[in-house]
Amino acid sequence: MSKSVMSWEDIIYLADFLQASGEGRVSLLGGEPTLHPEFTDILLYFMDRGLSVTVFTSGIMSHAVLNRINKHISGNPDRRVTFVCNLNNPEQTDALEEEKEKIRNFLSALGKWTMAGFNIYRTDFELGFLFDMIGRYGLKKSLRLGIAHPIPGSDNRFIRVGEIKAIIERIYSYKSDFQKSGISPHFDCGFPLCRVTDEQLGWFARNAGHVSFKCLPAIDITPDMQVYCCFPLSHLKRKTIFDFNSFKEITDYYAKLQDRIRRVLPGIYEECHDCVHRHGGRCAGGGVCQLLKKLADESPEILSFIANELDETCCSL
Amino acid sequence: MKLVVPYDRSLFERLRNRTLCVRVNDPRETAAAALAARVDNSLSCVLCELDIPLERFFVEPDWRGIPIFLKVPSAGNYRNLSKLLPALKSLDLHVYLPCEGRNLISARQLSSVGINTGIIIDENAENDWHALAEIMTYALIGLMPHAPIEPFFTMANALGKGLRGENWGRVYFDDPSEYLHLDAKGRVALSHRELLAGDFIADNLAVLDSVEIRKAVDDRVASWEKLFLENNFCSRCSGWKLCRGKFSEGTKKSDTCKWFFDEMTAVVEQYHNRPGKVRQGKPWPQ
Repeated sequence: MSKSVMSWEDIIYLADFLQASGEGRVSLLGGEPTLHPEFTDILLYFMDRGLSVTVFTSGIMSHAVLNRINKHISGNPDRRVTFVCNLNNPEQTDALEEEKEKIRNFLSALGKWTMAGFNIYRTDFELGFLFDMIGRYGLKKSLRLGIAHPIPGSDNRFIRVGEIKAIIERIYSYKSDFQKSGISPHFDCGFPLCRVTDEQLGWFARNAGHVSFKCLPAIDITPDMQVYCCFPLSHLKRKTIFDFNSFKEITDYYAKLQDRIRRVLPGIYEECHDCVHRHGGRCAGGGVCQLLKKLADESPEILSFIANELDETCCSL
Repeated sequence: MKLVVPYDRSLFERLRNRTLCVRVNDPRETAAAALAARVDNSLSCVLCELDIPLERFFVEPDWRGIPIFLKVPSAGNYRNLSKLLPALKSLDLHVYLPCEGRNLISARQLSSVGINTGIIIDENAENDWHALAEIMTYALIGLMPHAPIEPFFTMANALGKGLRGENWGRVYFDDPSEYLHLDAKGRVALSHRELLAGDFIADNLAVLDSVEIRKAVDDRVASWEKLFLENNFCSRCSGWKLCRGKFSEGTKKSDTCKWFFDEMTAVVEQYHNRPGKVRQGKPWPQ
């Protein structure tokens, strides 16, 4: 049976493992990481070990947990912690008033350590409310934008490949709001370069500082110390962290797995095959999760071929 | 030979050119005790046993430079220890925790952030040898450098030097070849336990350097050899080089200590053979 929370022995091992690998950062995800009964202790421990910590949270937590975090974080302005709080448009989502209140409390208390995140799962999304919230609660002046990816093997709501261009155009339509508020857009993985015009690219580069169109392993570690490539690929080739000697070995392993998949299907569009930007490493040709979804829909027999191929190659470390 | 003495100025005045380990009842006496001990003698360390968790400990600036051995029943929540860390790290501090409950986790936490730590393994208790094996492995061959966790550090290094039968009780000040225990009246005992029980080998300071004291110490130091004159479990145990028969009473109930010390023997070998063992780097921020 898998563990629901990570033990202290494993937390200490993880801090050692990351430091021995030369990593300076750790991200705490969930579910909702603040539900761990010793969340504040773990957060402080990683920071005391010299790691910068990013916490991905819904912001929905009890008063007791919020007060505890606030008490231990606020006293020390040097704390290297960022909360990424995914915010939903109140006009477009149904949320209980109680939950909204908790999010407001969270942002009021920990706003200056918080970066707003927005998960795009529909094409008619609105960003206007975010500029208001970032300003009102004094959040960090950046907005993390991610598109909802397909999770192979599950029936989640996600952005289709054909919708990506419209998504980019819609984000770009908010450029005056970004400029007026001094907020930088930060793009998560899975955006293909070819669906961004030169004008948009110039503006994004100028205002975001760095725009990436790559899809790299974003290693997740579960409470029972299993590792996988990234959340959408959480069912694919799970291993245990104890199989690896360094964090680089893990990322290399999953990068190799991604390469295997891309050898069969180079990108999400037909033109990815011959694309100079993909060959030049400037664009990944979409996310691997998008590739697997495409294969599952269009050629399930190729998908099973890849699965067999991966079994024969990637599993032997 | 070091003398473990209570903080008693009249006792200090009767001692000259000795090395003292001073027991204080209240940590607020630390600086004064160190100062008093250094008048006519030299100070080895200050020992303090508290009945509150480490998270409620406080630090005074004039304790810097004084080696302090602090025994606490538990460490408390990490979130509270985190706040104390800068102050704790500014001291020459060794924190000792009983081998029970969450203390093995706490010891690992403290060690990993740079606090010298010790686990008090009770010779007469039913110890969780599997849990001890985990922390021993971490203490000796953990991935990253960290502060020593006693008694494993001392045991492993003694074995590495080829010392047979090293008395690792010294990490608990329980080794008559290194420490004698005195009470305020100047009566002498071979261990703190015997001092508390009123089991003295001399009843005044005048005989401290006498042949009788030396003989009592030598007899005690050699007492472990008696194990080999009896048909004792420990005399046939492959772990004796490390444990030195300390758990001979406990082993009547179970032989898991043999498993532990066999395991430790293998880990110690890895500890001495690992590349880059002498790394001095500290992973925790200063």
